[in-house]
Amino acid sequence: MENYLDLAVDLLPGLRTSIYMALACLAVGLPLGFLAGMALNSQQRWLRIVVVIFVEIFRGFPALLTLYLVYFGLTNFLVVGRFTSVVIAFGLTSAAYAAEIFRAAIASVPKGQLEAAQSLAFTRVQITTRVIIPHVLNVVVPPIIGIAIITFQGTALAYAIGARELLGSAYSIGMTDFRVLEPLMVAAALYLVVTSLLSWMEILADRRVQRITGKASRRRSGSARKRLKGKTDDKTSKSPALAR
Amino acid sequence: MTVPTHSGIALSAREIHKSFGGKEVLKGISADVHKGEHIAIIGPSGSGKSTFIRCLNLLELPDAGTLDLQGERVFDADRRTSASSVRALRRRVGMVFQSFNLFATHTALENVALAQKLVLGRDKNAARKRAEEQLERVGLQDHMQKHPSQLSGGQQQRVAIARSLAMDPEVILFDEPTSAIDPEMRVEVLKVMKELAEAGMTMLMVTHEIQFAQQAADRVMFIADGEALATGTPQEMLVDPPHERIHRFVKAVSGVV
Repeated sequence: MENYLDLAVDLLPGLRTSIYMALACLAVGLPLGFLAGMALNSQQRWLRIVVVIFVEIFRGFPALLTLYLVYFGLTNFLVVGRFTSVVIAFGLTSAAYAAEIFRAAIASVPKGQLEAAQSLAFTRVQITTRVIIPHVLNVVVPPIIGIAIITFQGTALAYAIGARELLGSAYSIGMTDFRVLEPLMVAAALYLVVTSLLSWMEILADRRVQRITGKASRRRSGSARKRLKGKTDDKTSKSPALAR
Repeated sequence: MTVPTHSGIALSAREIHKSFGGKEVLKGISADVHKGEHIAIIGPSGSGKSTFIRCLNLLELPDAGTLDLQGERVFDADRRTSASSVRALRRRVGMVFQSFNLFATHTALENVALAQKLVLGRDKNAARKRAEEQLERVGLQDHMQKHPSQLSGGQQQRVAIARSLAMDPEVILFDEPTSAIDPEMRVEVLKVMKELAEAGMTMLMVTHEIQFAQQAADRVMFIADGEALATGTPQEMLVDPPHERIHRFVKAVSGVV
């Protein structure tokens, strides 16, 4: 038991790196994804086409391939470290996934609320900042936490280019005495702690969305807790998002 | 209640035309609403009455026609319409929708205060005070901090009415304000509207509530197939309709077989 605790302590720097990596990826990916989501709702056809191509490329490529392309490709032109490569590659990947979420969130602003704002003589800017953005921020939190979970797990791929994140450090600790399984199991436990924490936040955020908008968001039926219960409540099944 | 002839015209619409995809929905409807007057617009579904009322605050832009507020030309389909002139008109004309359309992410109080701050430039405290007064006026003093999803349809509609009132409009337009509400809850909205009417608010309401129209309206306008078939007092229009078409409609809506 003590052995495992020691291992956990040894793995903390790796865990910290993984968390920083994920945060940096999201710091790049979410604003980019928001802009892409706005662009997907734009009236300009060419803009939508450009963004659709971007989204398709980075959702189509396996994340590891994107990482290789950035790490081995960009180093031909400029000096990029492992950390930076991961942030660029997974930042773009998470932006592509987040774009679709933001697009749907922006499109889901009820038309009646926009009309009410118009009838109250709001300007276009006021409609965006006071009606559209608050709505988007509300409904978008649960699925964005989902993206955060995937991004955090995704940082394990950075092991492939030799980064010392959680998986990488577990493996190298194991290789010092060729007992790989134990550090890997401890790493697994640490991954689980972080993702469970995020899942729990996702459930809380989802309840908040439900309370405010009065309906279930898309991801609710996908939460671990729901799957365990093996049923959907009335509100969930009535949701138009799910009915589609 | 009689038509107040001494006061001027609050809102005047002339020859409003509107087509959607080649189909003419409004074939030149005109209406004068005097200050303090309450006009009920009735007519079958799809007759254009909602489109007409939406044209009056330019949620739909008329293809032809003019709008005057207190004798001042505020819209002319033959001239270019700027975004700021549209907003200037909307600032003076309130709107209450069938589906309430409250801002879901804001509390009842914020719903009523928001436009006062953004559009009228009232400071935070003044807007809040005014919002509280209006919510009290519609009987929602105990629900100010709730979000729309926590309120019944009738309560949401009363917040929407308070939101409109807080802007001190010259006219309020109601687009079937009780159609999306459970029958039991309608009464509370109709009661608020009746109080508004008695307080002298200028109102134009599209409604299916014949009984309410009879009690609260000074004049009733019947729209069918994009045209105003007739306008008259509730007595003339509802008790002894001038047209066979109106007679049939009133009978059907009143549930008389």
